[in-house]
Amino acid sequence: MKLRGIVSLGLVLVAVACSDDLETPTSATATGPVTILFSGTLQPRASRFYSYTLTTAGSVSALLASVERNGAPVANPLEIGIGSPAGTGCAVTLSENVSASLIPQLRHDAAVGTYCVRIADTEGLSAPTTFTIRVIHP
Amino acid sequence: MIQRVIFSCLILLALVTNVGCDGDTPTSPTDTTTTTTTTTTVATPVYTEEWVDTLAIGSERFYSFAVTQYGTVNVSLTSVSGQYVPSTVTVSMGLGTPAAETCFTTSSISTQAGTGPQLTGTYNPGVYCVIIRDVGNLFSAARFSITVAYP
Repeated sequence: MKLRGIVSLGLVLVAVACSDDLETPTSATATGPVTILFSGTLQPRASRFYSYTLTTAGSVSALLASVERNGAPVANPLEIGIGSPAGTGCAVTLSENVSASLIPQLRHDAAVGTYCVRIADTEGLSAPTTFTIRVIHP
Repeated sequence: MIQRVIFSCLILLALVTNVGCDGDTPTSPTDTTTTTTTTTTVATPVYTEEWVDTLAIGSERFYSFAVTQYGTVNVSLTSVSGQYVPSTVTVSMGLGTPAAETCFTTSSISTQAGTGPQLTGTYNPGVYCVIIRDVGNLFSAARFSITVAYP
């Protein structure tokens, strides 16, 4: 019994001797996703685009948050796309014809770099229409 | 007696381990000198794009292009023309990165058309843009031509 106590004490001494000093935790700055709101007026048969830069690689999602005319929702589907600025436009590599929704409609994994989101009327709006696109990126 | 011997051995073991586990012992600096020479090659322009467009009164237009390697970018405003537009009219031209719905310039000049390049610089790989603006000199829309050369 006494022997067991001595051995235990010895093990404690060894453990203490080998324990490193506790390091002071560094204050990590948690950066969450960035949300971009791209709003404007889309003319019939026209397109517009918005450029943004990713400083961190990761998943990017986009959705057509609203389509309105005179304060009332418009059901017309519009094309939204993601790509890279090129020439006088946005060279889209991923696109969908969508109606307004609060569920991500486009999603892709992107490296660090400059990208763009484009909205286009491909089916013929009857009049200028206001829109909002939401892009969420790292 | 046996217990005393075991206890003494454990104390000795703890002391030896303490010395062995001590991570704070400074390491003596060595006199080794390392010289690293980094040679950065500045690539010359490989690609050339000609941008021909129309600049309305008081407006701006921009054009994006992708630099694929670190090197020299040259931008030349080669011509400006149009009815009531003198070929010597001064406009603003800038070089930068696409941001939101415009081109955020990091360098810009007021210039007339010429053989150029009126803007030049070295850039890392990435997407850049050139922008042209009317600074109040146009009385009608102007047709212009800009040449961008990049690596």
